[in-house]
Amino acid sequence: MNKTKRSRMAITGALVVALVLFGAFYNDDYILHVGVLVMMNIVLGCSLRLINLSGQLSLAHGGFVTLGAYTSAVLLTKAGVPSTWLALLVSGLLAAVIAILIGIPFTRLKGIYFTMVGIFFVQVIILTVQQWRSMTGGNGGLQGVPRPDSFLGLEFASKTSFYFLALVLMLVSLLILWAIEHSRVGMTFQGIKQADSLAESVGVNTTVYKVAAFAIGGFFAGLMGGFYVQYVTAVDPTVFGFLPTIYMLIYVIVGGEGSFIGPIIGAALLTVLPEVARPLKSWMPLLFAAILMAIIFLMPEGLVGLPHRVARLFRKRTKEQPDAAG
Amino acid sequence: MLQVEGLTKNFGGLTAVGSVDMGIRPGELVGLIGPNGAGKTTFFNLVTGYLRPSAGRVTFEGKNITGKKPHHVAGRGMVRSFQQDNVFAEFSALDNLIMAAHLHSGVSFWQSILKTPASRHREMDIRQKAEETLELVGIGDLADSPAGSLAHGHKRMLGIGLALMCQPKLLMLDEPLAGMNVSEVDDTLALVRKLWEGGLTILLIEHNMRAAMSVCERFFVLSFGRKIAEGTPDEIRSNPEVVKAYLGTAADVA
Repeated sequence: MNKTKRSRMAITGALVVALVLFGAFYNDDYILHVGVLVMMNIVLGCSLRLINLSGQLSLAHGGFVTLGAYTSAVLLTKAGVPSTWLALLVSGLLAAVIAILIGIPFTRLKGIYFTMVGIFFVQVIILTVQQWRSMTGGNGGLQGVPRPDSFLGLEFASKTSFYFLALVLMLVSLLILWAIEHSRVGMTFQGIKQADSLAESVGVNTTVYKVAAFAIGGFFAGLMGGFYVQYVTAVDPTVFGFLPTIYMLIYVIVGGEGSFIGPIIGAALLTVLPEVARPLKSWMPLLFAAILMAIIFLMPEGLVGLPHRVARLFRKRTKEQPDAAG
Repeated sequence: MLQVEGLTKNFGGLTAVGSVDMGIRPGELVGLIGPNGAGKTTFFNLVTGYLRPSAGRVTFEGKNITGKKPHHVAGRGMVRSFQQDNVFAEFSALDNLIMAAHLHSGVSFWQSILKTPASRHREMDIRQKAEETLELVGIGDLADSPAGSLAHGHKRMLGIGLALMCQPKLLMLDEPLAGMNVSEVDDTLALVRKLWEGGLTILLIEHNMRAAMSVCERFFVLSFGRKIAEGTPDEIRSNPEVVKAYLGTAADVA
C-alpha cells in the first residue's frame, strides 16, 4: 500500500470516527436532522455522479427518489408489507428496474436529448402520483408511513437513531459506489464518456454499460427515497421534483465532478448553507444559481480543486518574493 | 476470411459506396487505396458496423455480420483503428490498453466490482500484456503519460495498440500514416509488417499510395465509391483507370 493511499484511508477513518462521535455526543435534534439530510444528499450526489461518469448527464434523479419514496409508502400503508427493510430494498430495486426499462430506449440518445428525457421522466412520475389518487393520495400525498422496524434490538424513533441509520446507509452506499468506480466496470464507464465509438470498437456494448450506470444510480436514488419516507413518515408529489433534482446536479458540479469526494463536499456545504442562512430561505434558488455560476467561471473543477489552487497561489507568491527584494 | 458483396451506401441521393465486392484471405496484408473522398472510410464504417449498409452483404469467417453492431463485430475478431478520437484521452497510455482488454479480460461485471482474487490475478496478467503491447508499438517509455497529451504519431501508435489488445484476427487500420513525419511513417510500416509476419491478417486503408505499395501484397482501389481496380502493386501501377483517378492529378504536379 503506498503512502497517498494510506493517508487517504487514515483521513476517511478519522472522518467516520468524527461522524460517529458527533452522533453519539451531540443531542440537538435539529442539528442531527440536518446531519441526516446531508448524508442523504451525499448519496444522491454521488449516485448521480456515477451516471455522469458514463457520459450521461441525467436529470431524472428526483424522479427515482420520488418513485422510491412512494414505493415504500404504498407498500407499508396500503399493501401491508410486513417489513420496512424489505420495503426499503424494494424502493431501490424498483427504481433500478424502471431505470433499466427507460434506459434501454433512451440511453442511445446523446447529450442534451438524454438530459431532456430525464426532465420529462421527473414530470411523468409527479403527474402519475398526483393522478393515481386511490394508490398515492394525489396532491395530499401519503401520511402515517411507519418508521423502520427495530433491528437487532435497535429502535428507530429518536433523531440520534436516524442519524446512525443514515450514516450506515451512506457509508455502505459510498463503499459500493467507490468500488464500482475503481473497478474495470468503472473504467469502462469513463472510457465510454471519453470516446464512445472507440469503446465500441474494442468490443464494449455501450448500451449495456450506459443502462447499467443509469440503473445503479437509480437504485441508490430509490433507496434514499425509501429511507426519506420512513424517516419523515410522509411524502407528497413534489418533494423531489424538478428543483431538488437540479440541486442534486449542483452538488456534483459545485463540489467537483472529476473526483469521488466532489459531490460529498458539494452536498454537505449546500445542504448546510440553507439552514445557516435561514432568513434567506426564499432566495435560495437564486443563491444556488449564483454559487453555481461562480464555480463554473472561477473553478470549473469544483471545490475539490480549491487546495490545489491555494497552494499554487502561495507557490507563485514565494517565487515572486526574491524579485521584489531585489 | 472477410467477404464483401455488393456493398452499397447511399446518403440521400449521393452514393458514397456503390456495390463494392472484395475478399480477404487469412494471412494476407491487403491495401485499400484511393484518392480523398473515394469512400474508403465509409467502406470501413460499413464493414465494422458503424454504418448500416443500404444494400449488400458482409461475411466474416463464414458468418453474416451485415449491419451487426460494432462491439459484436469486434467480438468476432475484426478490430479497427480510428483516424480521430483514436485514444481515451484522459487515461494514461497504459490504462488505455488495459481498458481495451475488455473483450478478453475474463472478468465478469460482479467479479470486477467485488475485486475477487481471481479477477485481481487476471488484471495483473492484463497489465503485463498491456505493458508488452506498449513496448511493441514503440511507446513503452510513455506508459504513464495521459493519452490526450501524446504527440500525434504516438497517439496513432497507441491506437494500433488498442486494437491489438482485442486480439484481432483481422486488423483494420484506417489511414495509420496520415499526418505522420517520415521517420514515424517508417516505424509504422515496420510495425505493420512485423504484425503481418506474426500471422495477423491486415487491411490497411491508405491515402499515401507509395507507402502502402511498400508493404501490401495486394490492393483494392476505390474511386468515387466504386472499386476500379484490384491486384498486385505492379498491376495497380500500370492500370490506366488507377492512373487516371489517382495519379492523374499528380501528373499535373509533375
